[in-house]
Amino acid sequence: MSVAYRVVQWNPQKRIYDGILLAAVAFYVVGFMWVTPLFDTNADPMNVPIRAYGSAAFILLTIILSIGPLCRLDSRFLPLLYNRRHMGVVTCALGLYHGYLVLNWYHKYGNIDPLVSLLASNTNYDSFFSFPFETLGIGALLILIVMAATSHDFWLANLTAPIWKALHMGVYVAYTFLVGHVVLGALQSNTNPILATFVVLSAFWIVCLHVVTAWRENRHDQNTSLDPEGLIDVGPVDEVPEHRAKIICASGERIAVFRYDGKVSAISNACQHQNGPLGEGQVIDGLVTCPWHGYQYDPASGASPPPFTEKIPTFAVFIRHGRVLLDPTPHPAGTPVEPAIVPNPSSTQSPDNQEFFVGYFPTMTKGMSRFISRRIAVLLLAVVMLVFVLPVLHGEYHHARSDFRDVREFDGFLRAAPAPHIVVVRPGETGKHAFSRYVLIGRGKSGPKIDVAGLDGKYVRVRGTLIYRDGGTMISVKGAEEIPAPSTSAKTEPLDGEPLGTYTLQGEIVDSKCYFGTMRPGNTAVHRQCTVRCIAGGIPPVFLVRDESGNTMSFLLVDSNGSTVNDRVLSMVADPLEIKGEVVRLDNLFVLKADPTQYRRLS
Amino acid sequence: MIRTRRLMHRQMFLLLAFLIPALLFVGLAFRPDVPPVSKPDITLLTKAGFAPTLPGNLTRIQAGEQGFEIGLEAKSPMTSSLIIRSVNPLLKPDLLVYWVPESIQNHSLPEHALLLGELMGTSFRHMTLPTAATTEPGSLVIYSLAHQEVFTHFTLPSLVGSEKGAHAS
Ligand code: FES
Repeated sequence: MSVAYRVVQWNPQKRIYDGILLAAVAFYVVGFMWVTPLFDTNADPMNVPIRAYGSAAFILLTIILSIGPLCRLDSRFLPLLYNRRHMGVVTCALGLYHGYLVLNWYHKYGNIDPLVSLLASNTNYDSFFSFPFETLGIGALLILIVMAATSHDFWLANLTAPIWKALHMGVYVAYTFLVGHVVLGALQSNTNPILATFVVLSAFWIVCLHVVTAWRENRHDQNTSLDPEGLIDVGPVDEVPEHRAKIICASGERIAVFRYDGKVSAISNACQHQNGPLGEGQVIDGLVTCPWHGYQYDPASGASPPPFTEKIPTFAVFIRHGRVLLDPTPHPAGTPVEPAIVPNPSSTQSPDNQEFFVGYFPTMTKGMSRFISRRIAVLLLAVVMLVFVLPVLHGEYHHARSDFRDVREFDGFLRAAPAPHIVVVRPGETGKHAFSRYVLIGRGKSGPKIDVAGLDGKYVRVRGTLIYRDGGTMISVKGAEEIPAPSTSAKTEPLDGEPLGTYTLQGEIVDSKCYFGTMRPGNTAVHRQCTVRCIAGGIPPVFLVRDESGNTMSFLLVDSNGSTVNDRVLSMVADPLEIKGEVVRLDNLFVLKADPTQYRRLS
Repeated sequence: MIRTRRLMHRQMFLLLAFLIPALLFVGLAFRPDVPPVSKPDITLLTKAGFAPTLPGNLTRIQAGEQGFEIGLEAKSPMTSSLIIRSVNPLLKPDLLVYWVPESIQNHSLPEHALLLGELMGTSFRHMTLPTAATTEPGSLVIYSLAHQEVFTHFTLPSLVGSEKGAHAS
């Protein structure tokens, strides 16, 4: 069986298949990362690859899940199924890299191990909208990893096809997890209706395709009735196409009745490889050839020719009065059964080779080639379109900056409360608000690594890089030292704050470092875990308030005594909240004093 | 596939046909606004230097690449106020708005520049103009303190003869 030797080896079809697959994936990922900054100059260079790899994995999984049912609906899609497992492995690799980037960006430089951070930063499992969507992504990824690891035929042979198949049906669970991951993650932050429509349509497509196929398959699973002798009337012998099979259902399983070279034989419809539908295959060189990957079996014995060892059950068949009768009692796999002889072989139809192709065949029929090339071309065009459309829809990178390469010096008074900050004298004739205040933070997800208590109230020179957005300014501190205060300055002592009254405000808790510029976006659900890590590490929490007129205000959060609240707000970040408290103005900084126990969730 | 697997597939998709649409529907139709959009608190905004109410006549001024919307109000013969916002978010840290009686020639902040207030994103900010501005419009200088550089400057439209607001320069 020369063809079967090649089925498990590399062949031109597999190379072309993998070549197109890898080129399309590379084009999409690189294209996404290249196009995004063209549309949005604020695109976060660390965030864009996360979106590129994540969306690539989602799109590829959608394509993979379409192939099976499409093949059931039209066998001309079968060339796509031939190497589908490689697509699965690529999806897994994309997902893994997406996860690695997420770990590296949102969870590194915190006060705990990034992996622990990923699992422990959000434990709102009892909430729908605050649910840790990352866990769903991890679940999907674990399933994909198990599937990729067991995708080789070695595992298929050892586990047996039914168990392997059951294991690999986990992909449907993985897909559901992935839809949940996208809906509770990216689509909570990105409110573009077109992006949501893309996701909804793709999910709708997958569900409909599988439901329709399952319904059609179910119709074919009705048992054929037995005659008084316990035989099944398969039908007139001429109803069985030459070199093809008629499939019947007996005792719940399908049996393929093949007609070939003036004979009729019956074998189990389930290929031993992956339980592919042998009855939809063809007899080639006297051997039944599976349509999925081309495993071959002798129709009379159900055994693969040497050196192969695959065997499937056989059934006895008889021809009486021009009709094929079948004994539904299976013979043990590989048991030779005498074929029934077609009484009038002259009536044999010509072999139908029109639309049958297995990956290791040297050529494809013209019709099938045209069909499949057109489908692939449409798919590739869709990829090109997505490269230009998805980066625009993803968008929503905020106008914020981190001058992380531009180290500067700032002179001013250091103040430890309500959060470490430096008070810089404003030039010119200033009047009431004579100072600008820049909050100090440290590298990574931490507060400033300087002696804040020792320098409190002193005139200092701070070295660091700026982070800024919408009038809020922070310094990522590299060092600080006390220096003499300028004797000429009359504005030597900043005020302690101007009370503005008590207000009830609605907003979201964010970590000031990411929101003001380190990450874009630096708030909402996708950023929740990073926010938790930053605030837990000492970055001041900020309450972000926006009104319908477009005004955005941010308030440093402290409790009613003016003490930090970092550890007390972790479970409430990135959720809509209502806080009633006293607002104090410190020049350009606004402080909201309220006890975290009084914060009220709005959803 | 063998029958048990076909059955498994069918049962799974009977479940998923409800679960996935339900997940999408609830997740999208009821997604909360974060941060929530609230009604403007006029008192707080006013005290914080925002301009919750706008004059009827706003003027757009183009200063180089940057567009500003401004409104001028003469509250009395001696006092007038300025309402200003940047049309696009400005990517400069700590932008302060100064008034100078003359138009500035070089790109540095004059020592006698008078601080009016600070810009915050694209929100309208309310600032009080000095008495001198009612007779001599002068210029506005937008200065980034953290970068210690003048970001942009432009001549303020005249208030003289205008009760309603500013005119384009
Ligand atoms: S050859 Fe793979 S299922 Fe038959």
